[in-house]
Formats: sequence, structure tokens, C-alpha cells
Amino acid sequence: MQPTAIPDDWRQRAPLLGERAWQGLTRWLQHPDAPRWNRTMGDRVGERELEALARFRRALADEPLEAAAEPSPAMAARVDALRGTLPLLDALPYGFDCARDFADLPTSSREDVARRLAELVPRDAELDRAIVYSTSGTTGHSVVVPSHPGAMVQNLAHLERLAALHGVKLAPEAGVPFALNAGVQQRTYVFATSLAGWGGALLAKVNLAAHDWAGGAASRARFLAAWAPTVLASEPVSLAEALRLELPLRPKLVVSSAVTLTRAAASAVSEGLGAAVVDLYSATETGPVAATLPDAEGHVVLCPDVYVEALDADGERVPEGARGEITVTGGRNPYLPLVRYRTGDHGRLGTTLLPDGRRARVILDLEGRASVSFRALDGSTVTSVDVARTIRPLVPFVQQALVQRADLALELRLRPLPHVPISVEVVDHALRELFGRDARIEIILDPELGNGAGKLVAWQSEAP
Amino acid sequence: MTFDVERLSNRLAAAPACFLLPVDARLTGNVEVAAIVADLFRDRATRAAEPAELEAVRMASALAGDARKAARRHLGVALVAAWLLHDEAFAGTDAGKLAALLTGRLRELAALVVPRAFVEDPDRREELVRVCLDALGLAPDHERPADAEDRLATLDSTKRARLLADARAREQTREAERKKKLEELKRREDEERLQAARTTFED
Repeated sequence: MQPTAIPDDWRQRAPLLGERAWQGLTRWLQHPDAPRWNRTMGDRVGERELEALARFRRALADEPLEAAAEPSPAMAARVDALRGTLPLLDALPYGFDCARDFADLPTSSREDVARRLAELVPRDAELDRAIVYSTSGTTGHSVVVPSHPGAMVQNLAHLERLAALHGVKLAPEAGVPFALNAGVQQRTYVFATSLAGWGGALLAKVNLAAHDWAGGAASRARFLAAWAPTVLASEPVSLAEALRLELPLRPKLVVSSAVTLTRAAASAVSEGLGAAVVDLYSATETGPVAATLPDAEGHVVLCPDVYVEALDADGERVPEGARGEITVTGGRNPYLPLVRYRTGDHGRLGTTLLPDGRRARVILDLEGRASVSFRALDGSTVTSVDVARTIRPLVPFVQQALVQRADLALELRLRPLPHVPISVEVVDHALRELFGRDARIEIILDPELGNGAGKLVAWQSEAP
Repeated sequence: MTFDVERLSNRLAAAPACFLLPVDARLTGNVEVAAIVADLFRDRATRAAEPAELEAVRMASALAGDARKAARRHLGVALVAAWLLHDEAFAGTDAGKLAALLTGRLRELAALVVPRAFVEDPDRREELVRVCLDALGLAPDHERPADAEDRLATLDSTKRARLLADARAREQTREAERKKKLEELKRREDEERLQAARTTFED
């Protein structure tokens, strides 16, 4: 193989991209059966981020976990260190002791991220390394979440830990396909890149929908068989679709996230793909929070720097084992250091024992993230992500709630930003593009949306 | 018994632990502050507490979220103050002023200082003593009114917070003006450059 000069733009977006990884990557980018790549992505990971990854690997393996109902002194000290820089904590009174008074710390929520992001970002954070995620989520608020390459790459260590606990050995190699992120959507980002955190091994993000492959379903099958990922990251709807289409995927580890993977669905995926299956509880704002482990009930919190509480509607901690809103403190995102972040998801907390003897927090009966598919007039599936991605760039709004009735009629409620007009016609037109020109669509601007008791149901489908 | 600031501060320092117990009446095992306040009026004020005054204390526990946390701190400070004001020197305290102190000044103070600090921190102890004396229209022993006022101003958390907030607001205004000026300069520079380019082209 002749050495190829790595283009400057690639060196910028993937500073540690090596010759071997680059040659492998270009070969796959030019693969005759490749999907319609529509983005160019790099991990922005440099030496400092790799050092952080190494440290987090050690922490995941050795450090005690936040297994108790109260936060550890280290966690309280972490929050205390944010005083003076995190606007959220500006109003803490004199004499406030983060360890003793933890339960009196203010909470934050997805709505705060959507409407008061500046209060959740430390004033001294250097924003030049920020990656900005725009996420529709499943709770109805569309939010912009700042993150850092160092925070992202450390998620690999969490994945490695999950693989190890599921008895899967990972052996990534430079320039060789290793991971696949697969979804089934009308439109999504489709790209391939190399991961410095995994020594230059390759990751592809693809859309399993046949329209995103120049050679259609036949190309898709050939490419997936050749890519032969060890790790497949996806979500329940796409995994079900992969099984239905009998796609030639034989990963060792399947990581499902975004919405809950039921136990039955996990068994079907495990059987169908011959892989260990993990249901990962993760959100853009929090990063990975918890995951299912073999022979353990619920979702286990494996990160030593994540403290989980369950709160009632008033923000008070519920008794151990009682159902409450999962609330997260900690994480690795320097731009969004979470202080009692209310996720909108609910569950009961308990403790469990890991195989290495450490005690860990477990979230039982986790719920709140429902997978929702809608039906277009031509019978095709439209997901909640499709709808969110379509309407979000068109008009400004705080929250949405879409209901599809059994007769396929749609009702979309939007909560506008105060004093910002919304063009209903534009939204109506976009929804017709998704659901069909003659779809019955009603759009209601509702400034009170989400104010009622209980959590807003953002997506609801009664379609057959 | 007199209003010796040092003696009263020492009384705060010696507050029994039960005056620092949790005060959320909605939670079991918490102190019912309204009952303590009723006792305080009965024992030291010119009249018993009126139902509305006690209701104001009870209602604090009915709040939700961050407001409830603030209300809890307010009740906590009221509880500590109740210990202080139970000192015999306060016998015959004006009930109206006492109610105003408990529901007004102490609420402001609780937004800025945790209840425990009024027992554990010498400056905050002195502050609470002086705030109470001031609100009740009582003069500290052996101090001229101007000196007492000056000393309270030095310790006053509420005043300090207000000054800080004002300073921060002024700083923000200055920063906004600076940005506006910079933008204006940049706009003019761009315009001049554009004009120069046009001139060159036309030449």
C-alpha cells in the first residue's frame, strides 16, 4: 500500500487519524455498495482526550461507585467546586454545605436546558472545543446540548466495561470496521469515521432504510455483511426492522438506547443476531447513565462519577425503593456539569452487587421513554424522530405533542416561545411531506402545553 | 436581663440541637414551627399570635420545588430566632413588630444565609441578634444608635447581597455598552473598507 497524505480537513476533524486508519477509511468510503454518505465527521480527539479516556477506564474498573442513597463526599465536593462558576448555584445561601444540604440544592431539567442553558454552563468553560447537539428527545422539548470531544470519547470506556460484563471481548484495529450505528429513518446523518479512542478502528453510521443506499436493498445487504461490525448501536424500532429484513448482521454486542428495549425484544434481538444485548439508558444531556447486565435486574449505574436520585413531583427525594423521577448529578461533560438534573424518566432505586464485589446503584422498572411510530397515508412508517427533525428547524417552539388517531388523523400541539409567532402553514406543509398530501392534520398553538399535571405525552399513536 | 449583644450572641451559640432540626411540616418527624412561634408570642409578645400569622408559617410548607426549599430555610431561621427571642429580655415585645420580623426580615435573610450559620458562625450570630433588635425597635446595650446602625450595616447580609447585585447589574450594563461600541466601530470600519474598495474599483 502506498502511503497517502491525509487531507488537512481530516487532520483537523480527527487529529490522531493515522495512515493505516485513513487508508482503511477511504477504502470503505469508496466501497461500491456504500450507503449515500451525507456527512463527514471526525471525533476531534487529541492526546488530552485520550489521557482522559485512559483515566476513565481505570476509574470504571477501580473506583467505588455512588451506590448509596446519599452522595459520597467526593460527589458533594465536585458540586461544591462548581460554586462561583455555575450560575445555577449562584443563589446558594451563605453557609450552604453541599454535602450536608445536598437535598436542598436546586434541581435542573430538560426545560432549563431548552430555555436557560446559560445557567447550566460554567462561566469559565472555554467553549472553543464545544460540539453542539440538537436533540429532539422523546419528552417533547427540543434542546441544544453542548458537549466536548473528551466527554464523548470517554463513553467508549463505558461501552468496553459493558462488553466485559457481558462476556464480550473487544479487539478494535486501525482501519478495520468495528462499530455500526444503525437506524431506520426517513432522513438521518450517514457517515463513516475512525475512532481514536479505539486505536483508529472504524465506525459507520447508516440508515437501514433502502432509499439511503444507491444500490438499494442488495447493496445494503452486501455492505453490512462486509462491514461485519463487532458492536452494533441502535434502538428498538431499528433493531426490530433489522430482524424483519433479516439483514446479514452478526455483531458480538448490541447496544440499544434512546427508548426502552423490552425484555422480550432484547431476547428476540439476542437470538436473531446471536449477540449479547445491552439496553443502555442514556440521554444527550447526561451521557450514559445505566445499562442492563446479565443476571441482574434493572439498569445498573456503572460510572463512578454519576450519582442518581429519585425525586417526587416537588423535587423531594422519595424513600429508597419508591418510584420517582430519575435525577442525575455528575458526568463528564465540562460544558454541562449536571447538578440534580431531572431526566423526565421514572424508576425505583436499589443497590446491586457487581461481579467484582463493588456495590452499584440500580434503576428498577425504568420507564418514560416510549418508542413511537406513526403511519403515513401510503402505509410507511414515520418515527417521532422524523417528525421532530422535520418541524424543529422550521419554526421556533418550546414543546410539541403529536397525536395520531386510529383513522390516521393527526393533531399537533405546539407551545410557542413567548412573543415569537409560528407559521402554522409551514408546519402543515412539512407534515404533509411526511404523512402524505391528503393527510388530515390539525395544528394547534397552545401556550399552556406541558403545564398540566404529570409529564407531557409528546408522541402518541393510535394508528393500527 | 438586657440587650447585651455579646450575651445574646452567646445564647445563639448555645442553641439546643433541636432548634436546628428539619422544619418541613409535610415530612414526618419534622419540627412544627408554627407551634413554636405560637409559644413565642404567648410567652414574650404583647398578645397571642393571630391565626393569620400562624397560617403564614404553616403555608410555607405547602409550597413546591425551589420555593419550598426557600420556605424551609425561612422556617429554619425563624426557629433559630425563636430560641433567641425566648430570652427573658424580650418579654413584652411588640407583637406586630415580632410578626413582621418573623415573616419579613427573616425571610429575606433566609434567602442568603442557611439557618445553621446563625448558630455556628460568630458574625452571623451577631447579625441575627442585631437584625432582631433593629426590627423590634430595641437598642443594644451601651451603644449609641449611630454605632449600632453602623455595626449592623457592616454585618447586614441583605444589604451586601443588594450591593453585589447592583454592582453586577452595573457591570453588565457597562459590558453591553462596550460591546455596542465595538460593534459600531467594526461596522464603521467595514463601511470604510467597502467604500475604499468601491473607490478603487471606480478609479
